Amino acid sequence: MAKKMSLLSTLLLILGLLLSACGGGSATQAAPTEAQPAADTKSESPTAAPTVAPAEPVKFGVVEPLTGPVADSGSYVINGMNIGIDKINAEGGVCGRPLEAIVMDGKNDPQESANAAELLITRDQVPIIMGAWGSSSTLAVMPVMERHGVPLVVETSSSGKITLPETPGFAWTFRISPMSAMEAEASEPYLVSKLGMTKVAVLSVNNDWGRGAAQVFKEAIERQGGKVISEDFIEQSATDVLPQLTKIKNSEADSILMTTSAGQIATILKQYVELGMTQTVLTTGGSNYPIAVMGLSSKEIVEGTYHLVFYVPERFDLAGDPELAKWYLEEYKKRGLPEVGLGESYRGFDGVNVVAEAFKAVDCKADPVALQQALPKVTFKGLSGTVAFKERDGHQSRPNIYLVQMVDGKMVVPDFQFK
Amino acid sequence: MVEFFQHVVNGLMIGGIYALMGIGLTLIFGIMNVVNFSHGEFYMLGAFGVYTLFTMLGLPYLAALLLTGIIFWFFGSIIERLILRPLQHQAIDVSMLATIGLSIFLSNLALIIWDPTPKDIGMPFPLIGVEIGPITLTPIRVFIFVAAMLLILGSHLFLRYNRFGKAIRATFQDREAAALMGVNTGLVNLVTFSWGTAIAAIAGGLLGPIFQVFPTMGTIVSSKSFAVVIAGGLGNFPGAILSGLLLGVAESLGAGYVSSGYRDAIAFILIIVVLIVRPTGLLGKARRLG
Repeated sequence: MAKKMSLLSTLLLILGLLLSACGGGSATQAAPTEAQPAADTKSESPTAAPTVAPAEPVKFGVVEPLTGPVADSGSYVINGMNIGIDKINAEGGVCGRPLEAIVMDGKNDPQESANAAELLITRDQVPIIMGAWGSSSTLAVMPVMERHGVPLVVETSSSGKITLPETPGFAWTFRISPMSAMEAEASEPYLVSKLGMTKVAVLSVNNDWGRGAAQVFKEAIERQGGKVISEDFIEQSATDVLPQLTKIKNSEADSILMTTSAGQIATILKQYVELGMTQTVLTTGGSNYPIAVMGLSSKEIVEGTYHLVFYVPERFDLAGDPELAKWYLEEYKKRGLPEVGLGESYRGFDGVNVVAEAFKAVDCKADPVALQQALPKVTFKGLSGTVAFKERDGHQSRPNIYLVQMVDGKMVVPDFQFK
Repeated sequence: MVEFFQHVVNGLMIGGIYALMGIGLTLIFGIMNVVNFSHGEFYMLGAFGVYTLFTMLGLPYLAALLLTGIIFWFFGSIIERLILRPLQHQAIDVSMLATIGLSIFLSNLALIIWDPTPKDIGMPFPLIGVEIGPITLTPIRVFIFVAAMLLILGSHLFLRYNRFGKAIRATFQDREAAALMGVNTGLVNLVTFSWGTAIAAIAGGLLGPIFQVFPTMGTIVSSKSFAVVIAGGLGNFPGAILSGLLLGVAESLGAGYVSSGYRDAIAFILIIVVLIVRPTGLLGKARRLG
């Protein structure tokens, strides 16, 4: 009897370890199982679009966090991407062939993301990849792209380092998301004069993104005569920020500049309200979609906070293509996708359209070098302005950056930023 | 100075939960000789339990918390009966491996049931800071601290004065002698484990509303609980309470005055210091082994 029981528990143990290989194990083991569901959903798209003739699909790779602390953000990007793929395929695909994504989980972990990219290139032989969400992950993926000579379209990362010529993999990297410096530049005219951020406490996630944003915003604030009086960096998984907030509350800070994901911003704001703080709050980085922050906290908690965003769903006039923006919002709602994910989903949509345009430019040949040559010339009127790699030697696009404020549970775009 | 007191108060609130997690873990070790690596997962599942009952099904918060405690009492008994009891005469590392496997299994199970997106439990109490002198307190934090202290006090009184509590202490001191005196040591194991599981789940349900709930939330709490147990002295009940509160305050002061980056390292610095200065733990006495 005892023997049977220990056998049972051993089996449970093995089962547990096997499951962990799917969820938390190494990417090489995890890869096939995780890529499976994504491939399944994608294989339905040709049937959804009867106009597409059965042809060899045009494949590209995607590395996004599907598990871990920012798994929600990764899934939103994928949602937007799927809308993009379905639209492209419904309109005849690229060069008459259906577009197909092979999605892998990078967990927003640099090592896992690099492994995922490696596998996409060597196993699936994709000629182009979109990813890898976080700056630290993207920076880890870039050398892999360079080694294999495959271009990368970066849809989310904000760190300035990514499009610096001396960064390994720069030649193969094309970024549609703005650099933190672009956010600082766009908001500089009103940080001090309109938001009154003269004594600023910086609270950032401790990675390339958070540290990079802290640096460029500090410079912008100082240029305008304000000053940064404290800088705190917290882990991506940190939940209790009362110590940092207590310190800020008791300092002379009149405002807090936050750079981290929507989930962590929600946690910080809850504790900010708990302490009865009154400092002006500005969040940056574009993974701070205020509706998502509200979904993870409440209307009262986000009231009055400011956020820098790259996509304002209801303001079609601000998009690169107002008609497309209107269609996208309707389609997103029609699919019953979570509203909290809308703010990040546009990245996947704009990103996949850039990939499709690049394919069209090379007659859909799976030729990474030709794609690399074609990408600097690609333009796409999307949801966040017009994508065109005009800066940093043809590797960086300049999308929309707008300041929004949460007023009564709604995003309001203050007029002063339009001069 | 005002800031200092606020840091101490914040630290005590979190420390109360560390202590609560610590006493469960320390008693399970002391009585059953099981190093329970799935303690953090019980905490995570407790938070999901309250999320399901309170946020999704709309039960009152207190009822959801109580019901979660009851459900996990039974869950703990099942785990003890099916996994740990058959292994109780094996070496300590066998049951340790079993609990490691269980923790991996449970966190992945949560991933399948509730998906990886962080969940917000919602606030059971109004989120208004109450100023008490220079210190700001919120009803939820006070509730968490009071609930943690009541659970710890209740456990203490039970162990001290209840007949069965005395049987547990007797088993703790000498399992064979207790068995010879007619104590049902199998039942003692069952109750200890169920009770440890239930309070870990309640701890998760208590902290859930101020944080977010997600399948991997147990990992860091698990390592902190071990820090508490080791620093307090393995199997030492008052030691776990003291080191839990101490850890909370140390983390809070450390993040406030030294550097936020070192926050999670403080627990392990505490272990190292305690092990060097007092190898048997803060309140540990030299103990007969085996």
